[in-house]
Amino acid sequence: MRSAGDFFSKKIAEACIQALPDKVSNFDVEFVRTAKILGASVNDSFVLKGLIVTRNVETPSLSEVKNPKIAVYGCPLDTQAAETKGTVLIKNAEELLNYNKSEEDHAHNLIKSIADVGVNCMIVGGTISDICLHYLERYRIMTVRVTSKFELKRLCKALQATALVRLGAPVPEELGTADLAQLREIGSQKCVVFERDSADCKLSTIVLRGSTHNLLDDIERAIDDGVNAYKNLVKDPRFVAGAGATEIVRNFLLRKIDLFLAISKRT
Amino acid sequence: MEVQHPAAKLIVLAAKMQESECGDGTNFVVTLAGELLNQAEGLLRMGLHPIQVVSGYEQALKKAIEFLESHIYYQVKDIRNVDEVTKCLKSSISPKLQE
Repeated sequence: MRSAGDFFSKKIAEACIQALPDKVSNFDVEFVRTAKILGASVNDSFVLKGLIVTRNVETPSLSEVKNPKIAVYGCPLDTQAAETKGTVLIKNAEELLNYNKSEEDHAHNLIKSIADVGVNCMIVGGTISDICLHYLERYRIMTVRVTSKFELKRLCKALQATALVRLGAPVPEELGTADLAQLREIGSQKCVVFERDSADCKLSTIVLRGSTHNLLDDIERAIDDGVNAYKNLVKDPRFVAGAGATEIVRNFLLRKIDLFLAISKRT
Repeated sequence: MEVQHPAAKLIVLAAKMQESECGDGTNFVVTLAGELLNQAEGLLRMGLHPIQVVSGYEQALKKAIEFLESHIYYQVKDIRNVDEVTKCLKSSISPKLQE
């Protein structure tokens, strides 16, 4: 039977080679990521081209965008709340009707201005208001919410996007690109996959499957070591014998020198 | 890791360096350092000055690195070849995946 070591070393090799940039010295352990998804057996783990966010999309009607232009927002997508408390005095029915209208218009203009730049995929780091969601769906912008700041940072790096901390239309340089953004279901866990294949920043993700969190964590640690081993292999492809064999031989040789020095000093 | 002893702190530092430099082999660093200290104890009891022990160790290190060059038994020819790379990664991760 093939052991887990055999299985994962192959997966790591595949993932690393896929993520290896044209200029090999640029390889970084960050290029190979792991995503842990509970369920199935470890032998069902697989390598994915690109990046994965283990979260469902916020816009259920959109599940796939080819060659997306991605805007990344680090702030909540919400019509700006006023800094100070204000009292709105509504005198008649018409004003009451129009009260929400202006907020709606604001959200509409905001999303429209973003859509006009050509954005069709959005990653948001905060909450998204219902009204914005409505317009996002209307302008067919696939939206993913990422709660972790680090994850957001990583995504930005991978997609070469700039995270915006203010609402408003991004300039084209701030947009990230990918080949494909797609909603997939892995073991009933909805995930968004960003595939990207550029010369300078390729990425691969090893999707780990397993029955318990402990098991997944163990494998993740082992994979990190494996990727590091590959990094060192890229630096220097030479190997010595393992399991202490080299150390034993060297010990033997060093002791011989020791003796030699002792004799030569005496005479 | 919380360590009080100054010498032990150095070993922790060495392990951390290994982790950031190579990402693996931290256990080896600690065992090697521990053993070097162990051996040094005997030398100190013989009456050697710590400086002499250090210089001896440094000479041995120089030689050991020289020997290393002659002990290369395998070389990856193509770092994009999955089979070749798999073989090399296996030795690193297999022990860590034993249940």
